[in-house]
Amino acid sequence: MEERTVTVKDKIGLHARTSSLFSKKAMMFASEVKIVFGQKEANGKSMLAIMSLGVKHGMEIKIKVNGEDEKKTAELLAEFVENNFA
Amino acid sequence: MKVISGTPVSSGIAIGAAYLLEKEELRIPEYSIEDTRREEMRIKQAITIGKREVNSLIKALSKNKCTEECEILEAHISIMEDPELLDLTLSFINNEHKNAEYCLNKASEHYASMIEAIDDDYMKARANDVREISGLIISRLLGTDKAVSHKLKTPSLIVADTITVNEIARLNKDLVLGFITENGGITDHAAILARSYRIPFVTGLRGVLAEINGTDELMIDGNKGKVIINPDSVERSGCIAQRDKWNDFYTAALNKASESTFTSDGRRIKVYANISEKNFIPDAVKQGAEGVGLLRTEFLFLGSSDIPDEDAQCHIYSSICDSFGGREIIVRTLDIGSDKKNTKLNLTDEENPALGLRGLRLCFQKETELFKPQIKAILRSSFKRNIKLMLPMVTSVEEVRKFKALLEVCKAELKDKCMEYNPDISIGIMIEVPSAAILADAFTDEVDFFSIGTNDLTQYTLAIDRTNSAVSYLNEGLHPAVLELINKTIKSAHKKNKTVAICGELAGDPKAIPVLIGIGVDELSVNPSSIPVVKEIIRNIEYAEAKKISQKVLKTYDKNKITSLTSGLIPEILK
Repeated sequence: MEERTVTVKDKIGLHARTSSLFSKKAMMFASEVKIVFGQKEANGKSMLAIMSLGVKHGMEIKIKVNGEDEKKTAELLAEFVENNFA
Repeated sequence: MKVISGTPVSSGIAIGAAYLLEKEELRIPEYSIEDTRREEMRIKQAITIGKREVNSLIKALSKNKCTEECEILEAHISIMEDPELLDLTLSFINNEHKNAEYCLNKASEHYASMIEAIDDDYMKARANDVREISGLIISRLLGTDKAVSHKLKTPSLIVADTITVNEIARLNKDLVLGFITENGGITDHAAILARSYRIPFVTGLRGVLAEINGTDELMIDGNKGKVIINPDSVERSGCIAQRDKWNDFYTAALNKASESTFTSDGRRIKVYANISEKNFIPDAVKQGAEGVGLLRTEFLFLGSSDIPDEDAQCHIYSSICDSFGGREIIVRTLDIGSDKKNTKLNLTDEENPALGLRGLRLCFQKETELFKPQIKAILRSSFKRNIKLMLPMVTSVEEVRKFKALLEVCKAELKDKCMEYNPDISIGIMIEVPSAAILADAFTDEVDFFSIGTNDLTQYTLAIDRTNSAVSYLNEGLHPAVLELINKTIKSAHKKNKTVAICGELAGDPKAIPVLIGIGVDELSVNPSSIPVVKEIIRNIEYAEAKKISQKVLKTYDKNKITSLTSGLIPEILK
């Protein structure tokens, strides 16, 4: 299990575009990806689940990765969020 | 023959048969099933085909550089391939032994209502995306999805209540001559899409569905917002000639949209975009905007949303400037009043909001919570960026002096925090209250540029409530009194080498442009979609001639004579 805590810099937060970008990226990896936000947890490969978290600009999320390529996955996904989904 | 008027959102002229896009309300059947595997297969197949369709649309759109629409559709694909949505649907199929349509609807409703519950207008709108996509897959499962695209066999004008991006996607664009809808707006994705396909589109035609039959012939003028039902033979042949001329004119305009604009005798006129929400920006860049002449910051504050703080605003202004490749951006400070409000501000209702506590007046009153964070955000974003600040609703010189004192306070506070900002930021004012135009001379000593807001200037000069339909027919920017105020403002500004822009609707009005150029305007700021045409109009104007004519116009005091005076300077197709 790998965990990374990152801040969402996008001005709207995890909305349709950013959730879509994140889930697409996460789907490229074999490991299970979860996003933890406060008490809520969502499947990181599901755009709808990510959107339903209601993460806004400047808020912190935790990326939890479990599986064979967990270290690389966690690293790359955290970097992806840090780079504002670019 | 019947003529109706609406809001033009995509230009062009066309004539053809009406095609009523009847949307039967999606009835979702609910029945028990035995073979759960079969339902699983059905849903997976429908999703695969749906994805393939949207993907081919994305391919077509990306060729047209429609990045904005592609992103919407990419998000739609993400919904289709969402593993949680599919899992939930499959679990309903397996546990409840119900049909695929029913289970998908139940699963997507679960997510839509969850997203809807988030306290954010943007997210609420996304809940509808989920419903739209699930409806799309369901109609495919039911075999009703092909109804529209199959029935449309001859070139037609589509008439509908509303039209969505996905509906446009499924229509054979070669057969679509135009869109006529009851509800919609210029910023709708469907309107953006229609513009990229160059299909004329007129919306805001309430009740039009009841007036048009499938057998009617229609003519649409997406430049003027006009629709004619069953045109007579004279109107009809006129329309065909108009259409061909327009196509030639518009092709020429689009080909040169990204070029700088000069009159035929070489006077440079800048053409900028008015921006009122962020998703307008890619369109503005594509249409050839040389900068943003008016960034209306209200979109950040309206509705129920939280008031964005200094950091968030700084980020937005900076990113807008960056997406314009660093071109000039004029940020107007907040212009709201009791008619356009933010629920967090507790503004009291006013009898007469146009004359009430609004714009600069309101900002001064909410100095700590509203004004200073915005001023600081603009100051910070202007560091090494071509960002300027503009004040709305200025009525007296004291207000500008008071603002400048506040600006210095903001600079000092930023300095104390070691924040970077542009200490020499350019400051301009809107000329939209007659007193500001009358006192233009005095203002030239205080600010760097003027931008004339002709909509409000007309409303305040002629005592016409823009929102009151009983008197709005009197609302015309080419009124001699308004022209006199514009003329006075330009003269005062040019004496001190300051520039004057026009950012109201008049700036995009083909009949007004020659007069405005003739009295010496330096810059026109218009809606992004008007930019190519406005530039083409300018190229056709000879400044020396426009100058002579505008002098006559100023002495005319008769709007009919104004029309005949300027006629020679307006391209035939736009008269």
